[in-house]
Amino acid sequence: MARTRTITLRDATDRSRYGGKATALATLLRHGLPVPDGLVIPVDLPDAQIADAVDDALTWGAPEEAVHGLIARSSAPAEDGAQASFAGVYASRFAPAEPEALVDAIQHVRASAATPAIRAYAARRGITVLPGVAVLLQHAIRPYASGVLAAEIDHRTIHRWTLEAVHGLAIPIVSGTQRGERHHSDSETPSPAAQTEIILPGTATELHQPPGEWIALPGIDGYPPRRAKLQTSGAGLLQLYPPDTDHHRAILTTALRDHLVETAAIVATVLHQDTIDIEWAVTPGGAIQILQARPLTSPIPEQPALTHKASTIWKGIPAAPGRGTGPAHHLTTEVSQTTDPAPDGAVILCDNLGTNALDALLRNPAGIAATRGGTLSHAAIVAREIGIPCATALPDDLLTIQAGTLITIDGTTGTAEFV
Amino acid sequence: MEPVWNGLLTCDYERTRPQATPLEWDLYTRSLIHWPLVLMNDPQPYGQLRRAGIVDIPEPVHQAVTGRWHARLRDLDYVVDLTTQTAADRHAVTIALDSCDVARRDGDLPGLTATLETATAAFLRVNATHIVNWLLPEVRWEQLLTNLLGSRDNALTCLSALQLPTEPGHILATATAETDVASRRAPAAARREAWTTAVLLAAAGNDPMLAEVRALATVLGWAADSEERRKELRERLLAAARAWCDATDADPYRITTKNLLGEDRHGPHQDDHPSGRH
Repeated sequence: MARTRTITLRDATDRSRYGGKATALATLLRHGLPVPDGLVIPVDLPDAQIADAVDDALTWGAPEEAVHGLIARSSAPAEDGAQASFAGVYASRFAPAEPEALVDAIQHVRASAATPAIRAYAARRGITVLPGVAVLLQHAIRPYASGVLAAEIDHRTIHRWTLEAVHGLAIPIVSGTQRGERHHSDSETPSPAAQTEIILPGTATELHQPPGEWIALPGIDGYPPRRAKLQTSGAGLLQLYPPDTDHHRAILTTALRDHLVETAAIVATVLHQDTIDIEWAVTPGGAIQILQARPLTSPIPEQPALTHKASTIWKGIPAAPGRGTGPAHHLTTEVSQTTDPAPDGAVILCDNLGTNALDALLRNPAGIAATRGGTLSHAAIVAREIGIPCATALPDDLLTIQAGTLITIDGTTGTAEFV
Repeated sequence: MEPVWNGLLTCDYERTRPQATPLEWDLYTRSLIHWPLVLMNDPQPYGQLRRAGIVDIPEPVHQAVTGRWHARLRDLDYVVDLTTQTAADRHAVTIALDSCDVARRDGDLPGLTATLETATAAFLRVNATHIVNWLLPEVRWEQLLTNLLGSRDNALTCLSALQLPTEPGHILATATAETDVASRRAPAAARREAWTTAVLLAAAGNDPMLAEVRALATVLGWAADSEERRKELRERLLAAARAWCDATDADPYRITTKNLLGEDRHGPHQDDHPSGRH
């Protein structure tokens, strides 16, 4: 069936009508690179024809490809350019494969072209922005992992690169709300992720399930199957609690990481760029998909020296007032698990406290930092009883701090921070 | 409590207590659903069981029930009754568990079964107080104390000082005599008294506010007591249940409160089929 409102991604060559994101991805598709196919709504499509474009999208491709819904992504003419990326300035929106939801998603993306943030960003970069935005519609993929990768290339050879990965969609790292697993060309050892939420596109059935239900997570070969609890859902997306096993296992294998870096080099070559910034996903079969590709608009940062930045402040609940500083000492509620005795004046890091904590508590600790509980948790109550500053409900990330690191606990504000 | 989803609140002990047995989940969910009845004689159930470990509460039910409770927590007479009743509930569990211990030592299985039934029923009332962990009117109290004490920091410090159990909490209670727990707790007890005095003086002259502050101070101490003493009784009840399973060859990883309450005496046994939780 001939389409007049939309064009297939592969044929999107006119940047002024289909935008920077779509035309870059179209180039990669035509060169045989792994890009999810899609349809593009041009910048100049009248609002009155959006419903027809949605009909195109809902009848395009095999129905099973839309089982996790669709994503409407901005593709503005100025987006993903050499001078300005507009990263995160225009909107993208997931939607179930239903007409009304998809119309809403497209209108939301188109409306983002008129926000003051666009003008402010363009002014700061000293560029002129044409009005309007094209919309790239793709079937939502449900990745095992995804993330971003930035690289500098010279004569098809990668010089430096940095990569960040999370389980599921990359929304938590793109939005800056969570820290992914970080790899850097200067180190063989990645820094672990601190992922508190996995985001995935849901099926219609899953999106009607209440919090607490189990959702099977996409896996890859060699890793055992995993499942996660549903925290909440909406707008086509599931928000899941990461399984406990995820805290102890790397997201990317070395082979997968190397494959991503090699793919980035090919992408840069095809697009004639000597720097590249890609958003990628790895599907359950282990296949890499390129979701976005653009030149880097800022240099690759140095490898972070610490997992946690010196300025990191963890926010929790104030549980016992006062402020104390001391070396971090980990304590577990597992009575069977033996740990070294706490030094005097230590800051106790724990999820909660059990009776096995008594000895450490009697050694005049400088503070208690607990990742669970509230003001009436056992850790909080015992802290108040013996006058030790305590914060509870701190992020789990805190438990990855190396023992002996100097930490300050402020039990009045409910925070923990590096000295 | 999970975030509100489509007008539904979910309390998921399966997530927050992943290692718990079905009995432990059952103790939490039953007592959660019946907390309005136990704590304020209100017959409206707080939601309904979805499956073992998970309770769904419609948001209007949550708003209505907690609204009624928060209003009652401003009434000093109600608060005094609440603390008296819950102390009596804890005493009843203690007496029943003492009887369980006697029956167990005597090898008296019918006696153990009967006293465990009594202890379980009584503990379900005690366990209803676990809602103090997230259903107290903390925002209102913080605002009230901020107004009275002049700053949010003072309000938070005061709230913290008032949440002190009357007797040493369960961790300090395990200390040996040489530790002199009483002297270690003395400054905290003095802080509680000082802040109680300070906030009562700040409210003096405004009778309704003074009554609310008295009630608030009582509830905060009661909540801390409830949490610490409930924990000890829970451990004792679970130990008694394990002893009963040993004596009756029941599977401790599959029994529920029904088996202990006599609603289903022929509960799952060790050799029925493997539970997979060992």
